[in-house]
Amino acid sequence: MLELQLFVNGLAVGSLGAGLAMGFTLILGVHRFWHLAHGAVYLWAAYLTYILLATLGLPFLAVFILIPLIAGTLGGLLELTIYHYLRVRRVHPMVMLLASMGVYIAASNFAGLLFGFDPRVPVTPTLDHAYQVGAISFTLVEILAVLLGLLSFGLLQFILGRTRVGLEMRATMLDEDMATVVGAHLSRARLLSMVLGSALVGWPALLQTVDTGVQPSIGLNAVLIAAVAAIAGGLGSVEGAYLGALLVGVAEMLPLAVLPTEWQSATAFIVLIIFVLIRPTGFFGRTLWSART
Amino acid sequence: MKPSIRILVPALLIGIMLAVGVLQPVSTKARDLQAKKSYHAGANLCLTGAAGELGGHMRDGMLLAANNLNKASKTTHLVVDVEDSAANPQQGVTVFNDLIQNRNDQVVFTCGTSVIQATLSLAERAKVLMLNTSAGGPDLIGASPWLFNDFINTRLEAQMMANYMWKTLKLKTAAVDYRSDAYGSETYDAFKSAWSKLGGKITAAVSHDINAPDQLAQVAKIKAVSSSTQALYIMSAGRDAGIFIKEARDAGLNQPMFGIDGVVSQATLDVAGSAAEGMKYTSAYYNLNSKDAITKEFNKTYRAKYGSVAPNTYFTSYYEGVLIWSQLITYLQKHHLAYNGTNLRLALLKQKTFQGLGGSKVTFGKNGSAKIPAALGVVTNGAFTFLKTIKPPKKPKKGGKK
Repeated sequence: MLELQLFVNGLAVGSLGAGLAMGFTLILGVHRFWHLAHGAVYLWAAYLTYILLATLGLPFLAVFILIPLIAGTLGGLLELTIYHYLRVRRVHPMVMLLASMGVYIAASNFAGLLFGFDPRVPVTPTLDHAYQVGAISFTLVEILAVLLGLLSFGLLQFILGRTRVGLEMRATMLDEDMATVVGAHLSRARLLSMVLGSALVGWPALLQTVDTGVQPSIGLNAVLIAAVAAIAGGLGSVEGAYLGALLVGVAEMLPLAVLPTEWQSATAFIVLIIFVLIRPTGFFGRTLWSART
Repeated sequence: MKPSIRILVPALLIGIMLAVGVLQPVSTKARDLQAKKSYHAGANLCLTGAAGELGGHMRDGMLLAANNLNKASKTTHLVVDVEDSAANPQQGVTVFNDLIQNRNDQVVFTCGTSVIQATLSLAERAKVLMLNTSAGGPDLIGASPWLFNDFINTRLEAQMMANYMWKTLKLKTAAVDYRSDAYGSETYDAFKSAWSKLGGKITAAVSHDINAPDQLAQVAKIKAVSSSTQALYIMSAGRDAGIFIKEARDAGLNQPMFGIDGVVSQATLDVAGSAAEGMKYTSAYYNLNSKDAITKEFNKTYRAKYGSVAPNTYFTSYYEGVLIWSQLITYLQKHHLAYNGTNLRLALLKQKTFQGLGGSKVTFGKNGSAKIPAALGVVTNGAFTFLKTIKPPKKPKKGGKK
């Protein structure tokens, strides 16, 4: 039963990370740099969740709708200001990475200055429910994490597969030059991928905030998990990122049925290393990077 | 009059007026300060990072104490140089070096068992006094001749709680959740030893990283042995402790919960919510209802600045730390000794007993640790409620793994 409980927990944790991972891999695919500020967007989406729920007293449903829009706007602003500015100066992707890291550090420090280092937890009695099915227990937040992970995956698949902007994003992910030749609007694809990828962190940020609160350090772990899941899934693959996040979640939990809990942080990475050795391109990885370099 | 003089004279006049206006308050303040001698202390505090939620209380406690003492003294001006270790041993070493080398601090207030352990050798080499008023790691007792502890040690807490659980509550089995650092793991070792000596059984011992996003796996492992577990003992702090409490209750673990001083944090209550109700804990005890002058001054100035919110334990412990530091300075002044680490240490060893907060006397033992009273408390109606004081065991022994 312990194994089953850990598996269920792993799925919930993985689903929470799936939104982050899908957003991260989408941005990575289109922009071709490691968007570490993804953690900053997540962190600020969490703080804004707190403000909307606890300070402004908005109903949960309103915040549920608003927060992905806000997170998307934050990502869009990053693209329109810092990233666009650097890109027109044709800087090396490493500079973009450093700028992104700078944004993350500044954003988390600013959050610390503004909100302090105490966790901020909004009181949301509507979500404070736990269930017991046989020997397995789970909470309403965990159920929502799984459902919203699936919903995010479905929405993203729809946008990428059935809309013109989705097509542009996919084309840009495959080959920027060819995408331009066939009429894709690069700037639009970049902006929308940043908005969409950032919007995907909205629901995970919301659930994390109502569950265990927000404090300035949560962004780093989030972006780390997103990056690991993106690698496991295959860089640039949304389907892979979703499965990768679930794999990381379960890999963090399941081995603890036999291993001591001291191994928890290491197990996910050990599984990742083994997985990448067996399948270097991840679940659905294409030769995205070798094609570009 | 030449044009240059026409410009120069008014400019000079304006300059003098501005200088007088701007410098007047400064010079008055400077005169006050000139009459007083400044004494600096370093504060290597965890203002950010894993224990960042606590560092602010520590700093504010020190600053309030220094402010109150400065107002009261005509000869001494206390200055606290606050820097941030982020509760990270590496950063703690950098900060410590900066405090003693660049700011020439002769006494350093510290935070975090791991940071203290990392900086002990530096303090010994530089002959700088270290005052620990927050870290409770068992191995800090007698760890260095330059380290003096004025805070409840978690070894004692673990022993007291083991006795309380076994003798008073008649519990026989317990599961432990501890933080995977010196603070948590050494406390677990102390509890394991005390509990097994009494005949108790530990059904599960799980650890978690600092700032772990969840503790679902830890809870699941304890849940697997739930039927044979009578108590849950949490050796963690702040948000981490809150997450465990919340997730344990969500998973249906209804055993009575116990905690060490780290759980006495608003962060724990904020995250755990109603799940923390009924949890019993041990912590340092300061009787703020005492009628002595020091405590009255503390209450008056604290309320004026922070209102009716009860002070955090670390606020009070660092306040008391500054009280001790000021009494060490008085000792040096009285005996015409220079202000340096060696003399501060000598003063502490000679004087031994200091006036603390809450009307108590702080007496440092031969092992460098003060015997301070511990409190047993319980969480009721979302607040930490004092139940009773517990006397610490007479001879705390050094031990535990490093």
